Amino acid sequence: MIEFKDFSFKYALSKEWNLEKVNLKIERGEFVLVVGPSGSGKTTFLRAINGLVPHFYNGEYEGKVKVNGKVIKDTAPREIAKNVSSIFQDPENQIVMETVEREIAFPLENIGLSRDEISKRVEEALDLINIANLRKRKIEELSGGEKQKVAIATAIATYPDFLLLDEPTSQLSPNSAEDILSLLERLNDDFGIGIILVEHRLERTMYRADRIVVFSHGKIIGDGEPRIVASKIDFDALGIGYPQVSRLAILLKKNFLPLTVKEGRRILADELKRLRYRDEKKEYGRKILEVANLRFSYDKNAVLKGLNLNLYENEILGLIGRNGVGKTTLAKLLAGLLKPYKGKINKVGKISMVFQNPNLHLFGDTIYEDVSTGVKDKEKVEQIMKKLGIWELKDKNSRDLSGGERMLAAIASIAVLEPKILILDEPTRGLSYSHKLNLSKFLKDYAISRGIILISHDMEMIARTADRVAIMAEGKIIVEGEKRKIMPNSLNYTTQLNKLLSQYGDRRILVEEDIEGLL
Amino acid sequence: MIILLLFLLSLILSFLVDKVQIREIKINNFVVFVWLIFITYLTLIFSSPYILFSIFLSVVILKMLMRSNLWHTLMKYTLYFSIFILIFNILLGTNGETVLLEWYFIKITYESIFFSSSMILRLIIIMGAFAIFNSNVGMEDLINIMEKFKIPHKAIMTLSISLRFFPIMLEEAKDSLNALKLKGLPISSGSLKERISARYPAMAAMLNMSMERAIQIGEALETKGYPSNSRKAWKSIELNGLQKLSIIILIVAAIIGTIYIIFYGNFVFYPKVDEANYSILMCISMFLLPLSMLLGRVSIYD
Repeated sequence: MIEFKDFSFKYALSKEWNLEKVNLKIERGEFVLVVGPSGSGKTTFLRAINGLVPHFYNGEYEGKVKVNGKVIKDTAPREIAKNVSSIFQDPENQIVMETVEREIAFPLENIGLSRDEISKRVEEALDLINIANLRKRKIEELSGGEKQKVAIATAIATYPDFLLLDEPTSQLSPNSAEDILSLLERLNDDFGIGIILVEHRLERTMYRADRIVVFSHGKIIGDGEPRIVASKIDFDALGIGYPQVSRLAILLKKNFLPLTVKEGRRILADELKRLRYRDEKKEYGRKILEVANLRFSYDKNAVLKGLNLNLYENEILGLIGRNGVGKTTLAKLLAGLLKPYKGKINKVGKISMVFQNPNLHLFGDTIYEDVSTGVKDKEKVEQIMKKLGIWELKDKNSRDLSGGERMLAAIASIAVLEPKILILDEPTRGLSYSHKLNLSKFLKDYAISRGIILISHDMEMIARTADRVAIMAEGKIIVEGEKRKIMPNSLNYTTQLNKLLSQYGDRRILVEEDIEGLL
Repeated sequence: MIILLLFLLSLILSFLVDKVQIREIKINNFVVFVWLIFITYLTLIFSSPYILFSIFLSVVILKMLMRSNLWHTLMKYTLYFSIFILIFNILLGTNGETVLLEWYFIKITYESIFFSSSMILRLIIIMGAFAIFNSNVGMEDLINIMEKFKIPHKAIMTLSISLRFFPIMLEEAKDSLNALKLKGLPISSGSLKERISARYPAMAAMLNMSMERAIQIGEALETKGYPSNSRKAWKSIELNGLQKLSIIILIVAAIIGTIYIIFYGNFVFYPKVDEANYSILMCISMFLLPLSMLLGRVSIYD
């Protein structure tokens, strides 16, 4: 059992309490979802359980945290590691060995188990997570989803009582994310391993949890059965964001909150038939980008095999596809950072891009410096930072910001140069619901007289922001067209709300804004 | 003259043999490691072209029987380097007695040609041995080997983590320069000093990211129970009888070589090459003894 008693913690350089007066008990076997806006103390909460606070990060520590009766403050992390395993957001930086089986064996070696016991447990973990085929593979050859599976296999090989996960799916495609989450559910179901999961994306996690804990400003403001907590606290106002089905039920003034599409269909059946699609007409300008027969390869691996693509003025194109299919490579080719092997790129004006990792764009002492470097018109800098909601943070160093805030700063630093075509690579990583709404509005404004290519796994963001959608696979664009034609006819690449309308109702509706008279 | 022929033969062989792969025998990593060390040692102590040629022949035979992906690349570089060695030695090594050509300050002697041939032969052997080693022993095997030699585990971890993240950081370095380009900052014009200071922001971003990565790796290590006093390695190297025997033979070869040099002295190039100075017995043993590595074979059942 995990027990927090009047626990408060402040990092060495922090002025305010990062966690304050936390009281809570978690039994083995529970599936707990931890949510809250960025900077609310979710990660610190996990660190207090696995002992990184106070053994790795020191600061002011009050109260007590116990795991299985052991007082964390007096127990070395390697002792705690026997009961608690942790999985972090970045699949890359948590794997320290070179091959899969060695990585799984690593914590077991540290415990000092016998060779036979290690062999047995490595085998079990490989089988349980179903990655025995990856056993001898090098970590660098694996995809993001596979790396995260290796991290989970490593975590469960120590037979932990609790598994702590800090946004484990934020860098994965919808399918890989679904894979990882069902795996967690199974570990919880079959083996009673306690799961403590921090996640932003509630539509795929909330229904799986037994319990939800809501943090705000370092305090617990809600704790209990997900449906009940969600009906008491306004998740949208808090910036966390409801799953789309729940939001629709709230907007339709329903008392019972559905959490899954199936529940939604049952509860909202009558209303769904009555929902009307709000038509919006959009005019596109001239063609500003034409890509024809683009080919590119890294060494001997062909990534793009004759790709064709068009973009028009006043258009936002959503680009989707599996991890590693070549979306980022395409972006780099368009931005002129790579040279194509063959093919044509005809463009009007400048193309620029924002990288998936915002840190690459942030090198100044303050984010104001990051955005304003190379720009003469300082008013424009202020305007753009205000539009993206980061003006108040202008004097901070990027290291003191959350991942989402950094991303917004990175976008501002490129958008302020006003390239004719702006490419964003996975911009919603770590962004809270309110940030996403903000970004979507900003992009729509930006695209007037320009064009945007939006690469994302976040279907809600694509549905809300893009006009056309292109699906990439096998080095080509396999489908391309109006989002309301492509997304409703796709099994994976659509929104929860759209799935809800698959039986009754108007399937052109993708997000709440599409519904006549709702907002 | 024989020496020159041997030298030409080895140059040709080193390229021809690249196409010949009879089998791909898997040898125990530890044995390969020991072999690499002893081959390097023997190659460095002997300067006799005859003995070096024997060692070279044994490496060629091993190459045909084991995997060696890097062979071609390394040999190509060796050739470039050889030309440099040859010119350098011929022009500067003016000690020899048998002058072939004298023109102004240039004096080419038989001796300097022989001497550089033997240097090049050494280089070819060491490169070839390294190509074989590199294709057969991976990073993790090297860690096992270091553990076998009781090198402190912290040093091993530091090395293995830096090697794992090195390619990722290279990629990041490229992208941070790209980010500067996108921001419209000049990075490839002006004087060297200007170019370096223009790249400073990218370095700052890199530094930030490395710091963050270091913290994340630190967190991961800590939650995986590292460092720990009770740590036990999962896989350690265990040698069977034949593998032990092959290591003993390699050690014996090194001892024989050392004794030979101590008692009979090394090959003499200057002032006059002593072409008749060879011991058939020594040549044969330096050809046969390194082949004992093949005893260290790993069966498919291991």
